[in-house]
Amino acid sequence: MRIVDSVSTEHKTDAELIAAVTRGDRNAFADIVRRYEAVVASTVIGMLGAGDAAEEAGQVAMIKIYNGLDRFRADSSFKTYVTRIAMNTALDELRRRKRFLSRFFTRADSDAADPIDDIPASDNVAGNLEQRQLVLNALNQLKPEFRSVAVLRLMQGYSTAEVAAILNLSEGTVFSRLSRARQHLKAALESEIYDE
Amino acid sequence: MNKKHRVLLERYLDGSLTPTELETFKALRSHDPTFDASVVDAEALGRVVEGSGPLGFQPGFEARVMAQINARAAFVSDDAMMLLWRMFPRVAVPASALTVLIMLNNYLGAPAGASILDALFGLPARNIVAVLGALT
Repeated sequence: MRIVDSVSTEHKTDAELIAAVTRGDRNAFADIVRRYEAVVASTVIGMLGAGDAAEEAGQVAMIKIYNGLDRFRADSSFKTYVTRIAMNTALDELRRRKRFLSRFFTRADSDAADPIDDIPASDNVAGNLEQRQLVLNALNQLKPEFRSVAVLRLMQGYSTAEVAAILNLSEGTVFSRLSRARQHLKAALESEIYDE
Repeated sequence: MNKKHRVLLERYLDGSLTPTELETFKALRSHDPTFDASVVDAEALGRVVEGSGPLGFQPGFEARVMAQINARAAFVSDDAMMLLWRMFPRVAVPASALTVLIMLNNYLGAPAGASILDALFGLPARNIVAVLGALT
């Protein structure tokens, strides 16, 4: 059911769409969903892995964004705001899982060779599902605090300052976690590659 | 790699080094093979992960989200239902007590030989007549 049958809002700015939604135009929110679906997807799938849990977290995140639009004050960019909500929703889901499931850790073998160099650069393997799955599996082995910075900084390309703003951390903490995330991720990727 | 070098590397990858810091970074790279290897590693890892972003949700995500939002909005906007829902806890206990009193009154005023159901749920004829008589 659509309350307001508005004209196309595809070319409107985020601020215009937000204003339209707060006036009751739910069609405008459909445009926001379309515009930020990829951002939410890469955040929650990066954090939770592909599947029903990520889809559900994505929907929950979008509904939270909808319900909180009138409180959005544009202190940060809307994309940062959307990512923060998606990340917090994914972290909530991980906390919920942690309460019920035992965690699975893999041991990093520091003496292993460097198979990361064997993986072709992304330019040559765009759309390579195998590589995506490999990376998602490796990410899934990181603790949430390292996974979150890896997803935001490495996968989504946010700057360190933006990652700090999204996760409400100092830049120093982001640097530190990112450095450890790289080490863990490298070890996890090596483990994934050797297990194949 | 010490903390200072780690931060330098992260800021290089972030693209936020000042020109002076960039010179320091380059000098460090050329003189410290371990640091240089860390940079190569980090850049390789970055390329692999950056190119492996998830594909996205199944088609129709927007429709699924909007269906939920519209369903919630429809529920909230149904004023009568919401009024009943809010009032129910307030009226439920007094209404139940009143029902029990009426049934007790019916039972006590029922004619002899009336079944229990008639006694409880039948019309309290005698009392109604009494009330009507009192009113007239």
